[in-house]
Amino acid sequence: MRKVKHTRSLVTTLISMRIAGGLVLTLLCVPLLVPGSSPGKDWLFVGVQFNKVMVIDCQRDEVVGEIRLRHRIPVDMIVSPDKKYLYVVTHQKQSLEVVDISERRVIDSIELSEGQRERRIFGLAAHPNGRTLYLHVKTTVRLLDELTIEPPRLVALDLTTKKRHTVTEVPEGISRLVISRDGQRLYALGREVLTIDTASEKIIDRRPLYTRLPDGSRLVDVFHIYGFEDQSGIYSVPYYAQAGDRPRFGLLLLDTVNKRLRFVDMGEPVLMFSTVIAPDRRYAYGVLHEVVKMDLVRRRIIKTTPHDRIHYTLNISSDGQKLYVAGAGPEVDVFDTQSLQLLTSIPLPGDVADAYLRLITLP
Amino acid sequence: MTKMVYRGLKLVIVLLVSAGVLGLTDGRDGQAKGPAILAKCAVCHRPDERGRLSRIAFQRKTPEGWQQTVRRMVRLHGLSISVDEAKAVVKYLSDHQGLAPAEVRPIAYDLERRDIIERIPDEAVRSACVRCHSFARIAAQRRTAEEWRKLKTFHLALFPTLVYQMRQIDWPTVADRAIAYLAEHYPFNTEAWRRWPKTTEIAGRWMIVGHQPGRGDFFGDVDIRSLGNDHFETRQRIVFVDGQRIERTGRAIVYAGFAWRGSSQAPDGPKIKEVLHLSEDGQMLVGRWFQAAHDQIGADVTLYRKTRRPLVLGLSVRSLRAPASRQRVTIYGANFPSTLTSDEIDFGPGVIVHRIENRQSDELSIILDVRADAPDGQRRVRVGEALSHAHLAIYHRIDYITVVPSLGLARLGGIKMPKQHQQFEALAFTNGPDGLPRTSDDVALGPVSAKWSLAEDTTDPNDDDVKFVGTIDQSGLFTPATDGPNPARRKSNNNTGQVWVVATYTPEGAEPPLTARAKLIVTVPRFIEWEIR
Ligand code: HEC
Ligand code: HEC
Repeated sequence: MRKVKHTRSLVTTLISMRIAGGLVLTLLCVPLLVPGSSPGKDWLFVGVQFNKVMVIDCQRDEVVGEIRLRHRIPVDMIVSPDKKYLYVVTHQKQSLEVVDISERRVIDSIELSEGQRERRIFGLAAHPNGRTLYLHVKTTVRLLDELTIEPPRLVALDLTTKKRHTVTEVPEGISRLVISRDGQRLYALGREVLTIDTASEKIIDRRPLYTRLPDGSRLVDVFHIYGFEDQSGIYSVPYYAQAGDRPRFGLLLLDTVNKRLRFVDMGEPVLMFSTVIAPDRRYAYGVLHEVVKMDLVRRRIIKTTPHDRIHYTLNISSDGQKLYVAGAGPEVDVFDTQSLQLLTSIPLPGDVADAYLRLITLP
Repeated sequence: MTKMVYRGLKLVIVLLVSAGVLGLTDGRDGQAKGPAILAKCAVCHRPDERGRLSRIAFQRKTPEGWQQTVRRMVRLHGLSISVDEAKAVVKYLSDHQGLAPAEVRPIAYDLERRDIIERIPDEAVRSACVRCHSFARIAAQRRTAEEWRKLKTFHLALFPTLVYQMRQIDWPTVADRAIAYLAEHYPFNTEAWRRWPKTTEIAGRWMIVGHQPGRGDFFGDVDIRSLGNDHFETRQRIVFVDGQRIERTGRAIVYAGFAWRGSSQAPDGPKIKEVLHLSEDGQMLVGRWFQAAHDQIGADVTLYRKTRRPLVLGLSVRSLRAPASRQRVTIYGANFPSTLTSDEIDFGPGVIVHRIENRQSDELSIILDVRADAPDGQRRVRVGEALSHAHLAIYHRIDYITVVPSLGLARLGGIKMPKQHQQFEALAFTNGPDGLPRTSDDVALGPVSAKWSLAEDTTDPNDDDVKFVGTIDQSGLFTPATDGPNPARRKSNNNTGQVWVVATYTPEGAEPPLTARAKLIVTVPRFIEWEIR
């Protein structure tokens, strides 16, 4: 309930901002303390079939190295808070591999399945303390004559001791985890947004998503598939809604800095699988059949570039100048964020099937 | 490891012994001890104190359903079983834990491989279940309430991503409602199954009436010879009304005393599959024959038991226009007496039979007139004392035509997967007494040989599907284009699309021609083929 109010007030604020014009605009665009704003050099990590993470130097936009994984098919990947490690989910989501970024090799792996229990990771988040990894785990139990399940749960993994404990059970349907920048709140996203207090390990708020949104439209679909909060600190995914008889689409934004959830209507639906928020927090980009640039303040699409390939996922450079787009085929396509023109296409040795692009800025 | 194997072995031996002592017990009420053939299953499916094998004894399904389950045991759980053993398991379970005729009838379309739009009686079942597979797959089973519940968990366990695919609904909750509905309406114990005797004599001579869309009506007979154990050998002769004759030989198995699964072939023809079900009175086998490789191409068939009594199956025409003189019509049937005279052949008011031109015990060629004042409508044809299944429609004018099916589905193929065709057929009608089209008194006149073409069904301004989806021939058979990306198409799209199929027909002396159309969706291949879709 409290959350709903928050969102409402935010929407009202945003509307008033439009009226107030320039002043509020600048306020909104003040870059917050996000990793993208620190100077350094960008590196892109992308998982490819069947068992590699490719390292791309974003100055040259070239592959400069590869990391061999222990299992096949990387499907999810996050970066440690100190940017020293990559946590890569492989082996049909049953293994977690720890990659040392500077050494470019797997230094450890954690196998979740054991005995008759197959455990799979559907979403993970790293606590800023650098020790705790939160995993959303779904378990299939193979009995002699029956397949059954255990309730999905959030699990805290202590990376130093490798001990795991259950934080809480969660309803079916959670697919992404996001943690607030200060580490106090863990968000589990699916058909609803669950807010977990990391200190007490209790669910402190549940906000259903398939319902009426603050602007009165009804949400009919939201794609918590490739959502992430790199660069801007804002997790974003596209949603689709119905306002009376008008179909709408917009972005669900979860700000990990000020811990706010909001919905930004973007107008008539354009199908996209995933979106990314620019470091300046003013623009957003989306991708599927085309590359789309959106203005979060004016709340509309401002540019679209048709593309002859289908792409599922994307990321943005720390200076906000370049978009890295991939998913499905064996390449990363690089676009200029001003012109939305294709700058180059970086060939990869395998398909980027279900992987996620991680962009890290290192000094 | 060795201990495990040993324990499994002991169990098998125990089961073999008990099966031997008890013989083949009846599994209809879940009381099955299971015959020796189920010993392989018992390694994982342990018997309870009454000897019922876990899971297995609490479900009933069609032969296709049992085959699908046994296949999964092999594919996912490491059951090792020979083809012959698997066939014996499926036979045993379908006989003892099958469905009754009344339980199969509502879903026979799926077994007969008809692509239809299903009627789903429950909203929760529709939204939670009929998304990845047909409703028929579900309604072709009977389970205890507990077994229905286990099915939900099974889906969640086997497909961890199911809830994401189904994210627009709260799947676990809606599935609970669906399961409650199924447990109530599709229970394990039913009167229909308890009463069904499961044994009927099928061997003998049967008469055939069939219709193959795009090709026409056919008639014939089949000799069914028992090979024992519900296995049969067949020899079949049919004649299409255009005169083409086909002879096929084949084999079949009958499950639960009524479910005919056969295959047959002419020396130079494609392999035909036969899915037929015996009526409860044992006098008819009804179903569909279709090409094994292209199950969309097939025929509706009905077999009637041949007795000593004369029988009329049908005619070489479905309708005749009034007035008409000196028309030759063939009557197909059986046991026509050699003493039959033209007076004994009756087509109802306004139709005059002149003479029998050619007479055989199963075919009569007659010459008749239709008077101008013959009333429009369907009439039953009577030949002496014969039992008659034949109708003839008389009309003065064709008022309209329709295309069936009104919504067609074809699948691209030819590269990775076989093409899935779609056969269309144009049917003619006259308006009937009320003079209005598409009302209940309209008279169906049967198929007409229309001209066929494709037209764009414009869904967006640049729509160009019609150039890519495929072609239709003059028998109404649509052949889809090849599967996979097409570099000649925008974004190298597949040759999928949505078009209109247009039939044009000019009845004798009519102007302008009559037209009708149907929607056709051309989509990607079915990559996994299931026993029940
Ligand atoms: C190696 C162990 C194993 C063997 C051997 C085995 N099964 Fe199963 N069976 C399972 C498991 C595990 C399940 C639960 C998962 C599933 O339904 O696929 C199961 C489930 C079933 C079910 C319930 C399916 C449903 O739809 O609810 C049936 C019926 C069944 N088995 C029949 C058989 C038959 C018949 C045989 C012998 C021909 C057999 N099984 C042999 C392991 C086995
Ligand atoms: C996400 C797709 C999906 C949904 C949704 C789904 N099913 Fe299935 N179902 C399958 C697949 C795939 C199989 C085949 C499993 C196999 O044999 O490998 C199956 C098999 C079955 C079977 C046959 C099992 C057997 O061995 O006899 C039944 C019955 C069934 N489903 C019923 C249901 C019901 C009831 C629901 C709704 C509560 C449902 N399904 C929802 C995908 C789905």
